[in-house]
Amino acid sequence: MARPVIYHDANAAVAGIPDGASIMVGGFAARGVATDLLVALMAAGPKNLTIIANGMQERADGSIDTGLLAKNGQVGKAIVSFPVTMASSRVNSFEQQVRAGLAALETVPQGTLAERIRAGGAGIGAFFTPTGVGTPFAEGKEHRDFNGETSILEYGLRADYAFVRAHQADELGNLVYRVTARNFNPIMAAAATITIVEVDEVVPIGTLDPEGIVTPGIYVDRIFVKGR
Amino acid sequence: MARKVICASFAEAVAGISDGATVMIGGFAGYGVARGLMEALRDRNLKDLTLICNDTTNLAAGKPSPSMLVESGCVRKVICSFPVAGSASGGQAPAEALYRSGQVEVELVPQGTLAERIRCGGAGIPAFYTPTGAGTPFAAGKEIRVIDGEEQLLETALTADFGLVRAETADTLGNLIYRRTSRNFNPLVATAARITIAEVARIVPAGDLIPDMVHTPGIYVDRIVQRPTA
Repeated sequence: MARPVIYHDANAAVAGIPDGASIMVGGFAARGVATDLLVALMAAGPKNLTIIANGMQERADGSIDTGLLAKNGQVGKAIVSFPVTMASSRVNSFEQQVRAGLAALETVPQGTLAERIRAGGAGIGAFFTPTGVGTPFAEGKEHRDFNGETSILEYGLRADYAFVRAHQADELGNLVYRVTARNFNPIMAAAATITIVEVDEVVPIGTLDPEGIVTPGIYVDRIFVKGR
Repeated sequence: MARKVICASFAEAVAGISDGATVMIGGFAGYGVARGLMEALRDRNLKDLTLICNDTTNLAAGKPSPSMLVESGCVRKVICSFPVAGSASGGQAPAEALYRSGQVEVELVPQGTLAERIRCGGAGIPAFYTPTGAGTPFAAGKEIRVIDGEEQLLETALTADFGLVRAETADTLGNLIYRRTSRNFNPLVATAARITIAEVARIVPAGDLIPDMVHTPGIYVDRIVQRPTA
């Protein structure tokens, strides 16, 4: 197994991401977001990206999250559960772009989003779920009954890249996360062709307790170590 | 969330399992198998159980196997990946004769598909498409769909009335930590059974486990029994 490449420069860690790439970005309401990788991606400037993430919000506190990629004009499409800021008095850039026809939006129920990403990582082409039946989410989708309950067909999601935020990596790329920052990160690490992880520290092989490893290193291609 | 029922004995822990029940059992070639729960279930002398488990082989000397249930005559059907692999002493395993004679039905499932079917049962996914088994006898009679240019088979989820799980540590809320390879199918089984029974080495107060280390959230666990120390 090839070892992941370790970077101390976030710009180098995101090098080579072209226009039109699809990128999964972990995180949930600003927790567990690979913020340094996002800043580097904004500096690199690829456009027409497809972003797969929990949300696309911009926040009043200025915290770095996926919404800033839209503000920076880099998003062609987003596949997310929370595309807009909830407060009606605030409109984020992505919402304005979607309403103006400049960006595409695919809204996915949150559990279905998680399951589609997990399916992508697990080699499952598609699955049936009762979530969304009888709502606009079911429109145009194949329906089928199982055990007396109607489900709809949903497809696995994969991406060219994943931006993952973990707490520690070892030199083989094995990852542990910190409390709620885990959220979407482990399933995205498995579902991308190139997985780039932002960590607080890299530790020697053998340091991590095997029982506590959440993401096996086989999924990890690049590791960026944050500055202290 | 209700506190979990901590059972005083294996017999108490398997109470309520009835004739015809479907029982999932964690474990892989003797490791991570809830021996005490299986023995107590065997001693109930039930009929027509359906077992869902990785294997009914008994190759690991001195290790427990769900084959003990098949051999005792309480099983009508087994859904598994490795029904037979000979016996530790060589020759035909005792369960194999029951399979070959048709006294016990076997549904053979590729191992990854078995894991995924159990996982989907726990996750509320009724069915899924997988490329595993396409173009082989496993595809016979199954719906085939081409997804991203690849033939995939429709497989349906598995759930059970009871799940027998072996873990290392439980807290009083039922949160579980497994030990090394004995984790195997156990976390999946814990989610996919209506009543999950965990056999553990120790029970600690809620709050003692490091949250990031918990493998199975306690919400999936109904009964806990501590195995006697060797």
